[in-house]
Amino acid sequence: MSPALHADVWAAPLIVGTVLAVGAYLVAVLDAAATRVVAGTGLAPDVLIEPLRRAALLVVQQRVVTERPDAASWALAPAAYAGLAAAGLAVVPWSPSFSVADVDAGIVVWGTVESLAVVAVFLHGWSPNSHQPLMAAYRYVAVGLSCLLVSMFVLIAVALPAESLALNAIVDAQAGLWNVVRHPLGLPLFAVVALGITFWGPMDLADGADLSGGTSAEASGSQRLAWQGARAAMLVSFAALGSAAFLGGWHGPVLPGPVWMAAKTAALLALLVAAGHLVARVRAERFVTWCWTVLLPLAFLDLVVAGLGALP
Amino acid sequence: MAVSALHRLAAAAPVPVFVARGAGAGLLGGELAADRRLRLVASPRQATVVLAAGHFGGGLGPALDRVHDQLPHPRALVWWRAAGGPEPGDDRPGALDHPAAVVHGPGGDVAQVLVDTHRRLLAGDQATAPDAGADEPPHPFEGRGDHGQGGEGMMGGVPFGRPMAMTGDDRDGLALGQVSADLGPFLVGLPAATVARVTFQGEVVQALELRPQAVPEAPVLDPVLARFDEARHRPVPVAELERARARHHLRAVAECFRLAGLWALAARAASLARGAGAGVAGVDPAAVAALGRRLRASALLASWSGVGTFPGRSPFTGGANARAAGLAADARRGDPAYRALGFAMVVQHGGDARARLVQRLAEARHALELASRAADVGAVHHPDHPLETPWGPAPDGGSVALEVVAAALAGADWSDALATLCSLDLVPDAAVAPAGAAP
Repeated sequence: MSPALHADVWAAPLIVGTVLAVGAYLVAVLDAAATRVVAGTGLAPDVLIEPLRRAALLVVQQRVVTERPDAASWALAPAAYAGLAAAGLAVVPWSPSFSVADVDAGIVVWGTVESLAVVAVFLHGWSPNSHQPLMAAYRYVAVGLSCLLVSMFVLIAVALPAESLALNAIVDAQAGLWNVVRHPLGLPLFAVVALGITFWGPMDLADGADLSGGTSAEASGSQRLAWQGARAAMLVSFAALGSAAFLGGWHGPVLPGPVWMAAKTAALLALLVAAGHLVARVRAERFVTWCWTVLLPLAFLDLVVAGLGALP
Repeated sequence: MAVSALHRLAAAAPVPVFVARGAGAGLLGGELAADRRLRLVASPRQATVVLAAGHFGGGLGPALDRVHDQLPHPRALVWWRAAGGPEPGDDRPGALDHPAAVVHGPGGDVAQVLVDTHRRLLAGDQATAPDAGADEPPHPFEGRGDHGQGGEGMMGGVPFGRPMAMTGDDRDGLALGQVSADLGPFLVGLPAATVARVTFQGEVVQALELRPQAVPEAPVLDPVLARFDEARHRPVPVAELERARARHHLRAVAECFRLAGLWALAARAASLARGAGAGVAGVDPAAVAALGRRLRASALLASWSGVGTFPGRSPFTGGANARAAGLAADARRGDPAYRALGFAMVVQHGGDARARLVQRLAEARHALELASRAADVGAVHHPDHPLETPWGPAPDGGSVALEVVAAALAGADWSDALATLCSLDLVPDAAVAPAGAAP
């Protein structure tokens, strides 16, 4: 383990919060740009300000309260989801000597983040006391739980070559060869998990139009802003982990490590966001079947490949 | 000052619009997805403006009022109605009493009106719309029953108009909770003016009833509906008919894209539909082919493969739905004007949601090519020749009893049921009510 610089207790939330806020803004800009490009309505500089305009609208809009909601859970759900995104981002290293929280078992922290994220999304669908959000919540849980096992295998596969559960060591072990090359199944499987847990694009089974916006069908104003923000933040955290675990993290020529991390995270974000506009939403039942019969064996194969590669 | 700066910023945001499809509007409202100043949203909670497109007599009135009252403040309603026609009577819903703006006819710049309304709302120049309906439970229940829930023991009752979840056998033989709900009539994918009464077990549709709302005769707003109505009574150039057909099918494809979460592709399809409606410049069939390539790359076809296949023989005897199931039936073959143009039918196989989507896009492209050839020779359709509307042979061919469709969807996942209904694009407005159906 390399000697790591830890952020102190005051700086940590500030750093994580700033990265997530900037990242969420970047997600919104990428999303607006991808929409325009795919729709053929022309890319213009105002995509940079569009997210701010939409956010301002949600700030001034009324936050509607439904009949007898579980008010505390409804308010808690976006906070919990954003908090989990922050916890996940905190353990991702940005250079050999800097991560906000250099935890020995960073990969285990991520397993926890993913599991609890499923609970937060369920809460968001449960609390408005409304049919469609509740149905979407149950549907999401089925998909989320299916993703978790795939995620576990994929993340253990990146830990094997490093012989450590610490993300710092995992990035270190990619100095010669990135994991995306070493076991190429890992990143695509991880991308599916990322889209699944953040219910983004083709995996948007929590907030889809077939249920009038799913868990956010009743969310308006600040509630909706918080939820959208939390969801974008989680996508940022996933992209950052993906960069560290599969794309060599801070490794790269000329530029400083953190710049490489930021660039790789942004590239992964662009890919995930673009997928949202190019690939249709999967069917829940078919995905769950597919997840257990195809993705899970593939994840196991990924683990075997990584394990064989790690043999002395 | 900070607040006003925030409001100015909010006023410049793309306008979140919830489209409520009334009688005579067809799929016209969906074309607004092409305008980047607007964002068509899936829930009224996400909108600042509700666009009431068409007319809202009968059962649609209370539904419009409910949707209107679900919008967060500040909110407004814009009414897009047919030009001319009688004024609505006393059964006009309260939401239409004081609309922020009224646009007459399909030619009006409704997008600009929506943007202006949104900006006036945010600037405080337009008062937010008050509730149209009374804020009270639709079912009297409070204080009745053992626990005040309206039922007996700890079970039953209809609190707030929503039956309590009871257990029942599911498709796998398990006793699971059942939840009943009325969805629609403004949900993306549902047939016009139709409420889906669904009994759910999880996401599985245990029972489905499609209830067309009683809607009085209404003037027609949608130029596509108007064009095919006209063709039944007087000669109409084939080029215009085919452009209207392409326009309709492209809109129907846009609806499917919206349902599948492909909002940007929906905007692209809506833009092509608009182009087809514009007439003079028209739209290049190659652009429709390009959309088809995007569709194939999106995996939507793979996802909808095997969804909504009707067992045995297709219940559709005509129209695009029948041709998607391999039935070679098209009234245009009996029209000399089309025969002279070398009309050749487009047919798919499979009869599932995938085939119907492919069929619609292929028919749109085919219609644009026909329109181009027809314009060159000045071909005209005469009313005494057979007429093929986008839904089947006129006057009501291609239609199917909603109960047949509903029965076929029992046991399906809700998203599959909705995908099926969206891909079917059932006959608009005059939704075919089974005999004796309650409104």
